[in-house]
Amino acid sequence: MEVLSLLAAGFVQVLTPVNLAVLAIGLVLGLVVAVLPGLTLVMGVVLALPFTYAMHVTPAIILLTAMYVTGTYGGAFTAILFRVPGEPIDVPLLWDGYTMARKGMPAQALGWTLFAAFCGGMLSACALAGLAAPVARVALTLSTPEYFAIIFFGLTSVVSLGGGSISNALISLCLGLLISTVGVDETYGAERFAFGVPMLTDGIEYLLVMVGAYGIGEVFTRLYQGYGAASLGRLGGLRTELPRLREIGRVKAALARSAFVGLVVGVVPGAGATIASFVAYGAEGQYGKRRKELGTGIAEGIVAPQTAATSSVGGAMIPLLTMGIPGSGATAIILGAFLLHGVQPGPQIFTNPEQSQIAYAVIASMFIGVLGMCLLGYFAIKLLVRVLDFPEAVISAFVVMFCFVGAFAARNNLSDLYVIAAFGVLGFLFERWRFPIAPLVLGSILGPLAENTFMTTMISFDNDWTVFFTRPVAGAVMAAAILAFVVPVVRDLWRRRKKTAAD
Amino acid sequence: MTGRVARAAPYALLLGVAGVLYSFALRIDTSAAAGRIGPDVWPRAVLVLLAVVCVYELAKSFLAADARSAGGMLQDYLDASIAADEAQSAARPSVRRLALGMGATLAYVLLVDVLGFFLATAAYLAVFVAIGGYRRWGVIAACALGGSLAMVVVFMKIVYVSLPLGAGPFRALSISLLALLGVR
Repeated sequence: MEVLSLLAAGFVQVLTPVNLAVLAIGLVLGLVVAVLPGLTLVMGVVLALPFTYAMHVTPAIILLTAMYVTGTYGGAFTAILFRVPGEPIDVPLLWDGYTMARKGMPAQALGWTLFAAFCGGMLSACALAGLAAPVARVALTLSTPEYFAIIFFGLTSVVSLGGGSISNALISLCLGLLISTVGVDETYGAERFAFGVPMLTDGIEYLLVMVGAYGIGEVFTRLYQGYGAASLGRLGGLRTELPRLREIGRVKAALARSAFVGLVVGVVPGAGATIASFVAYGAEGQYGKRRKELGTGIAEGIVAPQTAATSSVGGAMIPLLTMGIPGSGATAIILGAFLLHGVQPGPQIFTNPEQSQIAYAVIASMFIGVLGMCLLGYFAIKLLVRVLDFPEAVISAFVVMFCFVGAFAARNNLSDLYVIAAFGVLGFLFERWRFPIAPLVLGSILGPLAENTFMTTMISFDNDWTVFFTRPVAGAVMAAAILAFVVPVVRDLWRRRKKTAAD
Repeated sequence: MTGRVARAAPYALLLGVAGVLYSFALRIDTSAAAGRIGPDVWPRAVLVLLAVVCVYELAKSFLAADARSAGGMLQDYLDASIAADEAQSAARPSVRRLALGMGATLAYVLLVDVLGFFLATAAYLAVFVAIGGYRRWGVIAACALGGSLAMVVVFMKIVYVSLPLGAGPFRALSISLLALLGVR
């Protein structure tokens, strides 16, 4: 009951003209960014960050959250219509969405996407509203060993859930963790890896790593590959046809399964919308009624990845709001925006009446945002897709500029530009050498939290490292973390053995 | 053999970096720890892990018949989507274009404090778009000047970011422009 009244107050806050305008801007920008290939939703949220500096905390977070939600949906248009996935999230939509469009049913494919995004978004917003306060209450009872175990789980997840080599992901993670150790350590005040350079003594902000590796690195990669010109041709008959109730009844199992998968994957730190989208498609391939028809252009193949991707947003917001642990790139930026405005997300915000209003306004904005996103998707699709006509070279040049201004404005420090340019080069090299960037970024974000909780535990428990395994919650999470890491390795060994035996 | 050396090169480089950083980690001041776990332990543990993974990959590069690494949970899907992407892609990679783009970016970082935000940004936008292969000069000029001006207005007048004004005559130019735009 208390949650409902807080949520109602959140709706009242969101429905003020300023917040509503900011939400609308966030929805449009999020869709535009998602439509453009080369601009991921994380980059979109990064690029919007400097605009939030002059705002109050509530509209700032509403803007970024709106971009995050719509970023999971906008890329579906181009994936289905032109086989151009605006985001990695949309790759599974190529298999059934594009195939359905090629069968002469693009309007139906777009309708299923809209329906899936709406259901996924609404269900995850409901879950976020319902779970945030109870999870925060539980989080208040946790101690540093449990926090370390949760963060450790996030770090192993980002290594094991990715698509590339586990060794490369581990290396990328180690580099991210090392970056986070640069500067003065928080426990003892000792200087580490600063080499007498004042710029390094202050440490390297994770925002710089993100902006450089994701933003500038991606621009360099696109520049190296060469910009292609997407020809849209005529878009005269482009429309969205919503599925009928009878048709919806047939996919309800896929919908429920994918919404659950998205929510759970979203909660896991280190996993995000892309992983949710792939895992849900995989789950449909294993457990779906029409699993043998997957890839031939069936509704389940569209509903599963899209529902999971949008549903993951609510899941990812749970650890951010209740524990202050960002599980993905986008939530890390949102955490950065919270901190820039002097609000530390965590269980305390649910015990502070003023700050809990902010949290519930953000949750309420997700409900309105999902509705607005679907209305925009339904009515403005032709206009949104036209964005693809814009020259990519021009967009890339502006992306670099927004990255620079965003990084500079956070601390008004010109030397930060050198840092993000360096991380841009590193991001490009990572892309070339097939090292994933997500573990690097997550390592730099979660590194300080991991080290602090580890050090505090060690000091509090007299250097007894077994405490991570003997306390029930910490032990269970550590076991899950180790399992998450071991499973892909064992699976690979088993496959190799099978292959050798077959040869 | 060349393929194996090329594959091993990043790991050898990272192993070297890990070694050098480890030697620096040994010099971290641990006197404040007084018998407790010190500030050097965490970075040293990370460096050891990094070195172990690099050694494993190096050994595999030269000794194993199949140098492929174990993949994450999404490996199968990723392989499928990469294959589809490569089959579709008509792009032509160019090291020259990349070097020019990186050079322009570095030049921007070096010169923005001297030229000021407006001039440096206008120049960078024009140069980068041209490097990207776009050749409609009127559009380039409009994007460069209009874009730079719009960013000055948005960030300095609305978001209140104190962007660099430049030095010497460029500073005077920036201040005149800001006066013209009504930015104080």
